[in-house]
Amino acid sequence: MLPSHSDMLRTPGVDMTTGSLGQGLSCAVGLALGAKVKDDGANVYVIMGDGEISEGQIWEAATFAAHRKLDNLIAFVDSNKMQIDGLVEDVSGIEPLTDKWEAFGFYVQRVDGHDIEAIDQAIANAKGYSGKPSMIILDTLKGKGVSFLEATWKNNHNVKISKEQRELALSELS
Amino acid sequence: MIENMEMRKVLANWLDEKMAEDSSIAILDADLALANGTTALYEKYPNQAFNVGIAEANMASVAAGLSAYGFKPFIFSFCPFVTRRICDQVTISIAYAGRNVKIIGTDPGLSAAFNGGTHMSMEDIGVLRSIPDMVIFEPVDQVQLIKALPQIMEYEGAMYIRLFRKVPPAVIFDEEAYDFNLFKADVLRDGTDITLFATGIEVKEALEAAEILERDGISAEVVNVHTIKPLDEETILESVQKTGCAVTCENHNIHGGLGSAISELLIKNNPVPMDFVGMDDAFSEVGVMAYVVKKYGLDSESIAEKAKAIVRAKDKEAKQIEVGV
Repeated sequence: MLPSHSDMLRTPGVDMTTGSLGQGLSCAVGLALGAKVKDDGANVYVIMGDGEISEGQIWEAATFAAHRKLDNLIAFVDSNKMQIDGLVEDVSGIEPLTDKWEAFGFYVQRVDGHDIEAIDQAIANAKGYSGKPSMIILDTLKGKGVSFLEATWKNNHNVKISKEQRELALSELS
Repeated sequence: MIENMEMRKVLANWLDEKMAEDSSIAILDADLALANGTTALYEKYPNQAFNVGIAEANMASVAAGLSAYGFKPFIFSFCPFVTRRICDQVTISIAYAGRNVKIIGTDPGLSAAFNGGTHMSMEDIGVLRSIPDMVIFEPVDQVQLIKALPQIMEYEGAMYIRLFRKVPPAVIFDEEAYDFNLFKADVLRDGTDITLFATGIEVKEALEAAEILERDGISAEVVNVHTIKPLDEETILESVQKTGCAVTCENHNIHGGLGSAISELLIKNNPVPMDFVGMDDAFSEVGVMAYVVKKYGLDSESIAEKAKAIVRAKDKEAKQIEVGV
């Protein structure tokens, strides 16, 4: 069974185990540091949640990534504005994200997380930027493109859907 | 002479040699390189030595990432800060993810002395022992450490090395004669009346306790359980089969450490009268090691007292069985 959290030993294509929140950026920093030392030209990608980055370890990792000038590290924050107990801004607000990541020494871009071309361009920019790790903040809407999920907005962080809703969602998305 | 060398120096010298041969060996510190004796390695091996600053959680997960990229990392800090402080990172980033990371904790238990209670780890073995796949090794002296290092390097997986940082209280092993196996406990003294199982600084105390007991006509076997997880069940059970009772001796809380591990083994296989020497669920006061060792009953005389009481309990039990009570 595939777990619902990232698991390198169980999920094909996942390179690190990060299910306990806040550890993934540090793991990615380890990979990026390894790639730098080996000078193999590899880039390392890591995706975090906007709720997850409340974890203090994220900021330990950010500090160290900037200190080591890991410009082969391309990090994303999925800013969907939600976490389990409500809106991020209501639970323990994390904005202004751009200012924070810039202050921590990252090259920061903020794009529409549903615009594939914009993300692609941001990655290209990140690859072309040297001397700093990259942060691409993705502004997203959970359930985007699925009418009944968009309608419930605040309350769709964790929802079960019926078989009929699944069919409806698939048809709306295709 | 290795006997006069600090444990951190033995480890750093060995790493110096190995890092030159193998560029995948990496060390990580969290602003305690100076305390842990690794400073010189930073100049010599800038691509294999990384100081993350005072950020142990980050250090553990960065090491996991390096391990996934083909490195063999060693992470360093004082015992409490690579165990209780970052239990989740050790569990998930390292152990659950199957990473080959060696965790070096220094100044175990009372040996933190003047750094005081904040730096004394009385729970590190307990914390890590409950993590699957974790190996826990506590070397007694420089000889045991130097013999263990090649086997530690060879072992692929998560391992905690509970390292006395400076010159240990006594050199127990003879470099020429000692045939070390990471997963075998060492019988240091044969006996027939009771087994003293000891680890770390308590090995010296247990050997001295055996001398005291001998003067009272009690023959104590002393077994050094240097690897607390996994236990060498065979050696432990064999010894207890012969002696019929035991006292465990450790520089750790009696809850969760060596004593707990051995009693878990014995209760299933051969329940015998037993007692525990260690911190009796207490935080220590600040003080020189010899003083706190005595104050909290980890010294040889306290071990001998507990051993005598346990031998008496065993004899009483045997008598009751004899007369059919």
